[in-house]
Amino acid sequence: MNRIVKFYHEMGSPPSFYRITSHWLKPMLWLAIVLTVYGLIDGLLMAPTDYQQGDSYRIIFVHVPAAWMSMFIYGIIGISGIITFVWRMKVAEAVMMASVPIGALFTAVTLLTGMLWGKPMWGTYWDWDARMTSELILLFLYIGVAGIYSAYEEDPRKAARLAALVAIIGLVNLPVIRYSVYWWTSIHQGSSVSLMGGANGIQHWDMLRPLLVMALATKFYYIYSMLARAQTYLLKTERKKQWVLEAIDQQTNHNNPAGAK
Amino acid sequence: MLELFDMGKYNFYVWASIAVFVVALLADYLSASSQHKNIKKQVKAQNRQVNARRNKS
Amino acid sequence: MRFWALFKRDVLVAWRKKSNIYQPLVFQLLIVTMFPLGLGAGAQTLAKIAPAVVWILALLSTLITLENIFKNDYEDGSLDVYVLSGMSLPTATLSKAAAHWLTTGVPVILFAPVIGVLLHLPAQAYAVLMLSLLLATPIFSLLGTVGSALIMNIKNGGMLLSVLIMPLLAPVLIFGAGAVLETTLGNSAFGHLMLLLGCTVLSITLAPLAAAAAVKINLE
Repeated sequence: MNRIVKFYHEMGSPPSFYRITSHWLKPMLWLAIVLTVYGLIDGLLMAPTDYQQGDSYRIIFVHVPAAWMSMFIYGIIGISGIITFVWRMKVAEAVMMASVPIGALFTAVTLLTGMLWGKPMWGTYWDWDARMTSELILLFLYIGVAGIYSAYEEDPRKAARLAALVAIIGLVNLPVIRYSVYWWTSIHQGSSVSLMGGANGIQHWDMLRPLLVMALATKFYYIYSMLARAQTYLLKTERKKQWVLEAIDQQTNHNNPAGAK
Repeated sequence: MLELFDMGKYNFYVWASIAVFVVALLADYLSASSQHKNIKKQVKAQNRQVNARRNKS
Repeated sequence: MRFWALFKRDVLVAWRKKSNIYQPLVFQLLIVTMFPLGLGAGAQTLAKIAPAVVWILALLSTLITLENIFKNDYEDGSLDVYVLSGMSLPTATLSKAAAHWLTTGVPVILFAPVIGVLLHLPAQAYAVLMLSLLLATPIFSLLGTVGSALIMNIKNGGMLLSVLIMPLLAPVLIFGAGAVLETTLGNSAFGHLMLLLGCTVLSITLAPLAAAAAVKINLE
């Protein structure tokens, strides 16, 4: 137990966060790459063809992991936003702002692959169905958080606190938005073929395995990308502090023991 | 072997989706890692300045 | 009471500068003229889209007024005075929202039937239209104080403000325009209006807190 508490406190301080996570970057990236390659080969080439959707269902192996990540990452942003807002924890700030670009990217990927899936399934690239619409609104939430931060960029602490507030407001509203959008489509539309109709049909282990592998791969990639950006954020905002100088010096010496340069 | 890559009439949609996914993550990797390298370089330059000043005085 | 003092002051300021009040209405008239011209269509097409258009116009015309709710007070320092005088910030922001609603929301509600007539909105929908706007315009003002507080020391923050509050307004639009649409189709709008009422209550309780937090951060 003590160990966990100690770890928690260490992760709260920028220098030890930087030191600890420096060792994680490469493993995370390699895990992500290996799993993505395996997952894509398994999903695209090995998994059996769906009897209903044919080969088009294979888009699921990128679409659904991206969709899961888009929501998961907003959750992380909301939580670290609350920590930023209440305790003004520097590391939480870094994690929050580092998660925004990759979260927005996953949301955009979800939308684009959804459109590419919609064309063969619905006969149109865009349909205002509940999932697509709420995903689009989620993208606006990401843009809002990023926008408020960049508007106040000269004052990073203020920018981060305001961005945290925007993230929290979004988090509170997300259930309302989702509920209203689902309710709206249930009234105004005949049920369109759900893209995930295929997913209900996924009971075959050979189809499920690549999906889970891809979900893991995106998680690891998120951890890599988030940590790299969080470190960048900390180095940038704390560059006047002693620990930054020492940390970088140490890394340089570690890389060239001869001490050249 | 090649017929494994053939998605029939869905070729375009499937491969375009995969391409979107891979390109997006690649772009994210490039931007994240280049920013990371840049900031390290800047801090190193700053270090050298500080050290030079220290040695002078 | 401080709440009323601030409220009265804001209403008077808006009243003296009348453009605040008629600007949204002129905006609505301008845009509503474009619809028949652009659609090139007869009364039936217009009547079909009327519920949505009346509603979206009310929303957009309010949106263009939001940017300045806090801006002037921030720039001339009176916002600091409220804080220093010990007034609770949520109360102050609630008073701001109330004043904005009286000077912008109420004219928009009263003007909505005019827009409705211009778009051939079916006769049975007017009561529900006014009622839905009565429930929704306070939400516009309340969320407006949040957005305006977030962007008050940014130049040209209007676009950012729209991005920030559009996701929050989406449910309001769904329920509000939905209520009018259901009425024109001859259905009951009760469910929509109750959900809209829920949104109103939710934003009265939460929006002042969020706006106060944003003001506090901005004044630090």
